[in-house]
Amino acid sequence: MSRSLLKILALGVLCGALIVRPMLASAETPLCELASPAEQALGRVLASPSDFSFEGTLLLERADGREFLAVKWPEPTGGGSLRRMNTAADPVVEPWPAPAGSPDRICDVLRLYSPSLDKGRIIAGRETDRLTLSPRDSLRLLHRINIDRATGMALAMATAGPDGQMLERYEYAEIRYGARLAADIEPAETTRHDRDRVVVPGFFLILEEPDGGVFVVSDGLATATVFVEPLPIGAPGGEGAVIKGATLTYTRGVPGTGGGLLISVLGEVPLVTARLLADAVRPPKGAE
Amino acid sequence: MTTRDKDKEALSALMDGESQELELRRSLDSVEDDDALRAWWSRQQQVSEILQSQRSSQTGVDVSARVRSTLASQPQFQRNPLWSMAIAASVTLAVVMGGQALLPTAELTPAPLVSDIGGAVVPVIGAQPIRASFDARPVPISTQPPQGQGTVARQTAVAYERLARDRYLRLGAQHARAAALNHPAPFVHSMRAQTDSPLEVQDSK
Amino acid sequence: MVTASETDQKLVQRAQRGDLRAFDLLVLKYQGRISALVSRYISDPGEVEDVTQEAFIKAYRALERFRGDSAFYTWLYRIAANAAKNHLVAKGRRPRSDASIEDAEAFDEFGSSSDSGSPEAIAMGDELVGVVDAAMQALPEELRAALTLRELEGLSYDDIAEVLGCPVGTVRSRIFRAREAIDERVREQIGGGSGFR
Repeated sequence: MSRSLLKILALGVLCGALIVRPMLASAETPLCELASPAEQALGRVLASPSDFSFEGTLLLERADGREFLAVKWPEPTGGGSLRRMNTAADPVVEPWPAPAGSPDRICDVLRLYSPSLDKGRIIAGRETDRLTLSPRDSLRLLHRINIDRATGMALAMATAGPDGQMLERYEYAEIRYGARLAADIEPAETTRHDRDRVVVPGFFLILEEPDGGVFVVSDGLATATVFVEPLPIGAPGGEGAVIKGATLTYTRGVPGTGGGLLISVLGEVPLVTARLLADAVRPPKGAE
Repeated sequence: MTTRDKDKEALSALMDGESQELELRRSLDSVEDDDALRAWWSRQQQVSEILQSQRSSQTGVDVSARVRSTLASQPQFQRNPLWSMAIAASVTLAVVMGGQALLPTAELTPAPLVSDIGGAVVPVIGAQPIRASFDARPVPISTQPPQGQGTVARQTAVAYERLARDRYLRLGAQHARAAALNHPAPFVHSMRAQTDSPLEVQDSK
Repeated sequence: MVTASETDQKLVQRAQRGDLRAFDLLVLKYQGRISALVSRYISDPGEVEDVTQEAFIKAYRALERFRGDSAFYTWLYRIAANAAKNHLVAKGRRPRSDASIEDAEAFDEFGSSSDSGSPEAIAMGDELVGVVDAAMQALPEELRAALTLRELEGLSYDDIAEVLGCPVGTVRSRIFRAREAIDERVREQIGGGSGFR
C-alpha cells in the first residue's frame, strides 16, 4: 500500500473511532465522531440548508465583479431558487439543487481539512461563529465560513488560494427563516463517495463516464471535473490555465502515436491538484 | 448508380442533415479534390435558397478557393487550436501516488485571509485586491520560462491558455452542476453555471 | 422539423476539429448570402470579394468560440457585418446602408436581400428563380412531393417517409433525383462552376 494511502488512513483513525452520534434532525447521520465544537460546527454547516426553510439576499464577489442574489429554499418542485438582482429588471427564477446527502462526507472533510472555530461577526443581523477549514495538505484551498449560531447556515464564506489570496466570497445581507423542515426532504441528486477509487490523495471518484471522457472527483467539499477529448494529429503538447473566482481551468495536450489526448480539469482546487488529476488520465488501450 | 451519383446522393443527404458520420467522412473525402462535386454542392445551395425563399441572393462572388488556400497555408495548430467536444473512447482514471506533491503536515497555519472588518471587501494582506478589471485570468504555469525559448514555444503556451479559457466557457456549467452538490451554498455553483456569457467575437488584426 | 442550423451542425463540428473540407462546404453554402450582405455596405466589387473572404477567415479562426447557442449563419452574419463596417471605418467611409445585425436574427436562416449585387447579378438571380420554378413543375409527382416536403416543409426523411408511405431509403433517393433533375437545368443557366459566369 502506498505511503499516501497509509497517511490518509492514519488521519482517519486519528479523527476518531466509528461511533454513530445523532446530530441535528438531519436525514444523514455521520459515521465518525464529531468531538470538538469546530467539528460539530462543520457537521451543522454541511447538514444545512436542509434544516430550515429560508429566503434571503446575498452578495457574491469574484475578481471580475459582484452580483446580488435573492435565494430561497426549498421550492415546491424540489431544490432551491435564485434570482440575479442586478442583471435584469425582472430577473427569472433559476433552480439550484439540494446538497448531497452522504454520511461519509463530513468524515471525509475532517480527514482532509483541519477545522478551527472562533467568534464571528454579525452578519445579516445574526450572530455567527467563524469556522476555518485549513487544508491538511497542499492539494486543497482554504475556506472560512461564518455560521449562523442558531441555525448552522453558512451566512458568509470566503475561499483563498495557496498563496493566501482571496479568490471569491459571498455574504448574506439579509435572511428570513421559515419553519424547520422535516427530515425526509429528498435531495434532488445524491452524490456518492466511491471510496475505493482514490484518484488523487483525498479525492474520490464520484461520477465516471469513461466513454464520454468525463470524471468527477471530490474530497467532500471541493469538486473537480476532468474532461478528456482527442487531440488533433500534429498538435504539440502543452498546458495552460485560467482562474475565475475559485474555479481553476487547466488544459493539457498530450500527443500520442495512436492519437493524443486533450485533458481539461475544472475545479475549485489548486493548480497542483489539477495537474495531478491530468496525470491520472490513462488513454484507451492501444492508443499510447 | 455510378460512383459520382453515389457521391452526389451522399452530399444531398448531408444537405438535409441526414448523413451518418461514416458517410460524412466519405463525402468530405470525395469533395476534397473534385471541383465538379463542389460546384454541384454550391448550385444545390442556391436551388435550396430559391425553393425556400423564392429569391436568389447570389452575387457571383466566389471566394472559396482563396479561403481554402489561405487557411491551408497556415500551420495546423495555429489554424485551429481548439477542437470539438468529440470525446476519446474508454479513457480511464488511474490512481496517482503523487506523494511528493503533499506537504507532510497535519497542521497548516494559514496566512491571514479576509479581515473581518464589517461590510467592506478587504484585500488579503500582501496580495492583490480581489476586484480586478479582467475576466478569467491566466495562471502562471511555471516560474521557469518555457523550454525552447522561441516563437513556437510561446505560441503554444498562448494557445493552451486560450484553450483553457474556452474550456471554462464551454464546460463550466457542467462542472458547476456537479460541484454544487458538495458546496455549503449550492446556489454559488448554480450561479456560476449560468452566469458566464460566451466570448464576443473580436476582430483580430 | 429540420432547421438549417441543424443541418450545419455536423459540418461545423468537423470544422471546429480542423477539417478544412467541412469549412469549405460551409463557405460554398453561404458565400452568396454573405457577399450579398457585404455589398449592402460596400459598392466596389473587388472590395466586396476581399471583405467576404476576410469574413470567412475570421469565422474559421473564431470557430472555437462558436457554441451553437445561435444558428451558424446568424453568427457568421454578425462576423461579416462587423468586417464590412470595420473595412469602411479603416477607409474613412460611411456604410451604404444600415444593415443591422438583428436582420439575421429575425430571418434566422436566410438574410437574403433583394437589392444587393450588380444589376446584372440581380437579373440573373431573377432568371434563375424562374428556371428553378419551371424545373420543379416539370418533375414527376413523387419526386416533387419529396423535395417539397423537405425544402418547403422542413420535414426529416423519417417524417417524409411516414407522410408518403414509403421507406426512408426511397425518400433519400427521390430527393436526390429531384435535385439532379433541377441541377441539369440550372447548370445550363449558370454553367458548370459554383457561381455565375
